[in-house]
Amino acid sequence: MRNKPVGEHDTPLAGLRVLVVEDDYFIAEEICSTLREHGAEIVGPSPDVEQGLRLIESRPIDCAVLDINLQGSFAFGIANELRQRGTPAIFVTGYDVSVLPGEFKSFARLEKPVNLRVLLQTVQAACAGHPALQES
Amino acid sequence: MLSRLVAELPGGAYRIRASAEAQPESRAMTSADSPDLDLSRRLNSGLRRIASARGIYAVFLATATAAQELANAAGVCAVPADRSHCVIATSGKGSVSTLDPSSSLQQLVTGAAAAGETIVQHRPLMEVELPSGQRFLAETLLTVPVSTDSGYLGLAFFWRDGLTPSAAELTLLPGLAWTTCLALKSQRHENQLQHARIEQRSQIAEIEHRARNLLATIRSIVRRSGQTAESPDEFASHLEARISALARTQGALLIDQQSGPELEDLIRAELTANAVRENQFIITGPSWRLAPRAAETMALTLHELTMNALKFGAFTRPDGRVEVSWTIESSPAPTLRWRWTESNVRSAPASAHRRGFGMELIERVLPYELGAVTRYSIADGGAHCEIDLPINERTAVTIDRIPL
Repeated sequence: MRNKPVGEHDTPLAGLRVLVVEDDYFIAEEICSTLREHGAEIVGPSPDVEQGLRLIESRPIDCAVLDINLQGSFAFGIANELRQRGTPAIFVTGYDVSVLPGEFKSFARLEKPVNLRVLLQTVQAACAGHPALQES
Repeated sequence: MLSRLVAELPGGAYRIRASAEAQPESRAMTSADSPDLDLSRRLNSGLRRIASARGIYAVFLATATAAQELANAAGVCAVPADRSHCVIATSGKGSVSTLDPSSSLQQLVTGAAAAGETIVQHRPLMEVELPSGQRFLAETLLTVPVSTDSGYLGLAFFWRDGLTPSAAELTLLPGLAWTTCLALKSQRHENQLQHARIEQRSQIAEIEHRARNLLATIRSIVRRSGQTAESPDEFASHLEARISALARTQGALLIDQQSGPELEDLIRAELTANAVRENQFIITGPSWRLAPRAAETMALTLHELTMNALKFGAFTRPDGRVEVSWTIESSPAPTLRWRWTESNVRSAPASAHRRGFGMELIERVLPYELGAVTRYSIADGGAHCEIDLPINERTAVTIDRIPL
């Protein structure tokens, strides 16, 4: 019942450290296991903003997958922090794009329920310039 | 003059022209010099100005300008129904400002409006000071009480610098005030409608958010059920029962949209849906309402505990019992201590220990999503599950919930 790996390599994300912030355990687990299966190292997952910010402060991160609505509070604080560091982030959301503040309109965005194949491609595209991906 | 009047009043245009043509002699009466027609023209121009204003302040400004054009009034003053302040609009340069509730102008207008009739007061010798510092004496005041569903008690036109309205102008001004009243009412409705639209949009966004999360949860349940089921039949029956448990919770969430479902109702609904007899369980705990997401996860957990008790535990024997209880503790941190305790179970089979969907809910999902501290054990007496939920906006319903 597992999804088959996609892409040319089995581990196209090898060497990437991906932060996952998602308050739904099952979605977080699904995203993390998919990314892990394809070589990424997971930072988190975190169910809330506070823990997400702590992880950004304490761990090196190459890319982030963020749910926008975390039990009523928004992940824009985390997104802003990442934007200032130049770390690419991908929004996973059940919302219409109109609720995104203007400065995040250019962020990649995936709708729930997430298509895991598209998620992998989006992470890969967001990190295209990363040295870890170019070596492989 | 007539053609201008006709152009300004497209609705009545045809009738006016027809009557003028049918009676040629009356045409002479409608020359530009007729004071009546001139007054009508000024009145109509003012009414149109008020009717086409958009926004409450624009309505006041249009009223002040219309009163100036019609009767040389210096401006208009309005007292809101709650008497919290007084709005004053002046013609000429055109400004709208707000006066303190204690102003003598407001008291005079309030008193006159309370009388219920249009009242003219001459030379009240009332000094009005605008927030801009501008001062003037309002020498004549015409107060028109208006219907309070406009949000205001009364409107008062005022004159200064020795200007006074003619008797004919005075008779027309209440019509202006009532048109203003209608315009204010319609602006109020418009504002309410807009507010309702914004509210509705945020509710739709919240529903959409929940629907998508729910679909994601269902997808995970399907995947987990597939991984743990030992046969296609078991897969189908587990899946169906889990989705039913989720559906029951959704039903409860819809009914108690604002307040959240009662914990006791969730437990009773789950046990009753699985045909557990009333004398086989005891529920004790204070009234407690769960936030939507917490209700879903707790209901799924309850479902798994119930199914386990039906297959391997207390509900396999007529004398088996389950006690579900909870207490609310405020120290060290606000916590809901929830317990599921089975008794009179002779021996628990090894299969009850397997790492199923229920164990994942208890050991992983509840701690991750709700910050719960959980324990699950099986002793000779039966299964025992402890869930300590921290009380916060994730787990409990607060009055001011989300929405966006």
